[in-house]
Amino acid sequence: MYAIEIENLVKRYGTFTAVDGLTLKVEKGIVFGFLGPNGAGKTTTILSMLGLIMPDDGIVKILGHDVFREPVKVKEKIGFLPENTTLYEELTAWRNLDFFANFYNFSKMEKERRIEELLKLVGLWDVRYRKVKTFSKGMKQRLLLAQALINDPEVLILDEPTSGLDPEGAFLVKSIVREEHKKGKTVFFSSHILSEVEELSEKVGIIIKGKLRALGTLEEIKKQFMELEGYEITLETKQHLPKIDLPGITRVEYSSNNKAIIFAKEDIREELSEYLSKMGVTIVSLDIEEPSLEDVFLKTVYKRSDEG
Amino acid sequence: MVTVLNTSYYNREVGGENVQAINIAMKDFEINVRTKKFQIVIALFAMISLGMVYSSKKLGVSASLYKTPFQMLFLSGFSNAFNYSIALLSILLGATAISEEVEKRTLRLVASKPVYKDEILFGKLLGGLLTLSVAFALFYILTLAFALILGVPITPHDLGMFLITFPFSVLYGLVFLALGLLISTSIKRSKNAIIMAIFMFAFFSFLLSMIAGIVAFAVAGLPPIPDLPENAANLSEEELQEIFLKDPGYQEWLSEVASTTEKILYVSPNYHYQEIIRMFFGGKPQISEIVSAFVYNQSIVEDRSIEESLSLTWRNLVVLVVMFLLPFALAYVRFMKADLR
Repeated sequence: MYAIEIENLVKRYGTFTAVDGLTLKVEKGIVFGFLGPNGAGKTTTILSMLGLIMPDDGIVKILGHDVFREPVKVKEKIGFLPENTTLYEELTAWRNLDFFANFYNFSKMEKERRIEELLKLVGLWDVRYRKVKTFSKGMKQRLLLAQALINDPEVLILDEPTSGLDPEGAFLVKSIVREEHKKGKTVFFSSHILSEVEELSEKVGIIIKGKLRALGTLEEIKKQFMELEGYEITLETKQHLPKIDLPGITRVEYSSNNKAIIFAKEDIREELSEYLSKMGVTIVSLDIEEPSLEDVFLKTVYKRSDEG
Repeated sequence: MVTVLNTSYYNREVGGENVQAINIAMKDFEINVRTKKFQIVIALFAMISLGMVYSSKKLGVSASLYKTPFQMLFLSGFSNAFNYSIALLSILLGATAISEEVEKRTLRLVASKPVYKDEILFGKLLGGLLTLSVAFALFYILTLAFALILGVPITPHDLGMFLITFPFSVLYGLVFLALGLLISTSIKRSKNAIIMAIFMFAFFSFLLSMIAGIVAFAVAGLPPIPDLPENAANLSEEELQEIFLKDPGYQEWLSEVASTTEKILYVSPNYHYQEIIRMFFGGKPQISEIVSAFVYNQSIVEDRSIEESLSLTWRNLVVLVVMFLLPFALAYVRFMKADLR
């Protein structure tokens, strides 16, 4: 069973299609990074996953439960940290968590212990009786994170969790994500910060203009990208490089007598090695330049934007 | 370093349906009583109640028209201020209940918890009801306290009738609260919702009465001129007024104007609430009786039991219940269909 299953999700706002036939499966116990530029459909997808917006088409299941047919069962098992949201500013940090905890069937003692643990976890224990309106943005974001964890969720859904946080706050969020992951929880988080996604995620999905453009582990995505965009092979030899003429090569850039970058449609390192060996040229190094997630993301975004 | 939380003892079953709505209601109540609009209205209630009691003390009871100071309080224009304040507080509470949470995005946070959408709306209604009940209770307590402090006599009958009107005041508040909730589910921005709420309040409280008056005069035409004595030019305004009021033709015209006005005001919750208050404080039911009482300087009130008052006001009560249910049902449908973005 998957933690999250989305099938052919479509959501339109008037003539604008925010999510366009999105299909996605997230395995249990992994950290999944949902990457996309602003307006790509990340939040709409997340709100559909929570059953907060009704899609025009598609099915969303969390831990095997249909979110639109069994919303309460789903929400019992998830924690959600929304983007750009405030808490109840007139209430204290404690009362805010108390309010959210009341949705679950805690005993009074259990509830108080849980709130205490979470407030300590996010470093707000000392200010628990202060009204939220006196908090900084970072403090509010940490309290929001605490409310997302109040029910010890099996699936944690975070929408841009480090947005607006100072480095210390961002570190705390990342630590909590890692900790939840260690406990076997599934974490689904959206972000436009590539380094964050690269750092935390085992699997990544890239959404652009409502469509899922790439999906898989970072390695798989990079491989998919290279298959699509071509391979970049760096070559260094002891002797002078001869003119290389092999099928699959699109371009060769010579940087010196014995160094070159070869652009190919596929991984031709074996063929190249044989070819050079037949010509009596000794290879010093022959590597594939792996694209960074940033390369993949930016090229995917620009390519899709060009396509309209 | 992040501490691993001990979560083994947490019970994963969620609370019952009513509990969720009550949880939302209690939170709303706590926030509502901390808002400036609530505090301003409470200050307004205090001023109104003090003003009402003080005026009654200063002016004294018009013995020919009323029997007790409390009757005068609630059958004269003094009570209008309370009537308007209830309507304004209630509609504003309702209008901001959903729209403000949508704007601040706290609604999506609540909706992500194990709660059904309708429980959220019922929680909002309950929270509003609780807030209004506390506000009105304060008004009632303050009015009695000021009466005692200023030495305005309260008969046991007056006290009974005054307290009996409490649930009707709450029902009246609920009508405007439901209307506010309908606005709140229809208009996304809270500022626009507040503007619409103020317009609706002004419409039912003032504009409709003005429209009704204009239409009634248009329907009834110009008032008939009674036969005036030869020395009419030398008569005082009061004497002339008495001649007009005693003229059967003029009385008929006046009754027609009042009757047409009443028919139009039937769509206004303010009218029905006013009628309920009037009947419970012994106001005469027929317009013609009131006109006649003014003409012949008689009392405009009569002794009436609670049962009699109820039998005279049940239609108004039913209309108020319908006026509450209708906008709430529409708000319910709108809210259930809406995306909680």
